[in-house]
Amino acid sequence: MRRIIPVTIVLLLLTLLQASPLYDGIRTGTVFGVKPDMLLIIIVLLGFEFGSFEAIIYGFLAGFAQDIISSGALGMNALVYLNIGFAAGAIRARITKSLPTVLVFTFTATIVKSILYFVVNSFSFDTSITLDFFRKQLFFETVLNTILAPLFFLLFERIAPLLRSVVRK
Amino acid sequence: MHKNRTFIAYASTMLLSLMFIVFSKADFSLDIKKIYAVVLFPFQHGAQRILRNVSDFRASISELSRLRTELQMTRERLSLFENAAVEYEEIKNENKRLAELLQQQKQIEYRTVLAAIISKDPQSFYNTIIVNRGYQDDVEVGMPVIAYRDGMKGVVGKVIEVSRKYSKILPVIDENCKIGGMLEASRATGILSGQNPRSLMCHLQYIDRNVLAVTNDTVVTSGFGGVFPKGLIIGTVAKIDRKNYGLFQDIYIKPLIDFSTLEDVYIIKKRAEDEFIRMLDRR
Repeated sequence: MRRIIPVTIVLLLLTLLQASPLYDGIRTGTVFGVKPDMLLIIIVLLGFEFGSFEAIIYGFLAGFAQDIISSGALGMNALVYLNIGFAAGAIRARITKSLPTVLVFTFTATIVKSILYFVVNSFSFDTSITLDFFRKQLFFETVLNTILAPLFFLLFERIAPLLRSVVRK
Repeated sequence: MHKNRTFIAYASTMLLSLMFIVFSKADFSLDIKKIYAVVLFPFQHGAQRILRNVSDFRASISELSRLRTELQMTRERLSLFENAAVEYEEIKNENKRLAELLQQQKQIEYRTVLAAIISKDPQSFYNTIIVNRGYQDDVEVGMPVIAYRDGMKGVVGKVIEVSRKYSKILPVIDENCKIGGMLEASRATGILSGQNPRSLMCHLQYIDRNVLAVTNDTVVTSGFGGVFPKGLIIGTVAKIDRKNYGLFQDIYIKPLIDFSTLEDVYIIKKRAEDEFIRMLDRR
């Protein structure tokens, strides 16, 4: 639990980076103006490493930080990310963490995120969300996230022993 | 024990998220957002400045020779503009004289304040814009926001939330943004609304289907509604959907402003009620 503070700080910094106009510039070079979701990949990796309980908290905090900045409904990103963290942690006991596993789960998690966005927006108040939006996110962001996942996996593997040792101290 | 802990964490965070979603439309959570925004936005501002400095440094190295060439070209253009400025003064004076003759009302000039964008939406779905000006800079909710592209003034959106040092802007491409728009060629007016996240194009509605709309026609603000001054460019007509039924045609507008590369905007210090006050004064 002692690592919650440093991990949360890192997640908040990544949220700021992902919200920065510089990072947003990636959208000009991509189809339909989507950008990769670094936070989703990190939540997946945290779930695989530390389990559901911590990943739920990290997902909720990372999602809530995005909700504050976003003009979408407050709580929407929190709901999506805590579920992704929970799922990643739940699957952890059943499969070995490896690059292919992370790739497959990132791919699946992006699809799940798109579905949850679509469902939440359809049931809540943005009823104009259509299948066009769902399709755009489903395919293009999924590809971007899956391409970025190996880089984050390799970085995370270097940092993970340090995070594990924070608890042991 | 571990499973119980996980279940409790899952259930409580799910409940909190759902409550926030429900209450956010009742404006219940707006105060919570503002409280956290006070803490978060200074970090965003700082982070954006650092990132911009790094990016500017890299760009400065690579663009030195390009800047030299551009400087020379700019000097040549400046001399042309200086001549044009003299001509402009003459035309302006003549226009003033003619306007007085026709007893036309003089177009009101509004003050603007330059604002830098410090944050955009972290997800690809929305196009939230947060800028580094707030009520300490006399920014108020409802003020229109513009930016320049290729020397032309284009509509960005309007201010929807203001704190002491920061403001949130609803972009014109957002589905919740509705403004009065006018086709420049035919002068037909309608309501323009965004379609994001469905699409980055705006939708101009309530244009009579008998009006001859043409592609690439400029769409400007009509001035109706009291928020945007008249005549600001919104974009150009990209697609016209004239069905065989109904009273109106659907026109889709490509905005002038490229929101993915936008870095700086100008907030027009115009309050909506100023127009109504002036209307009342004229009676």
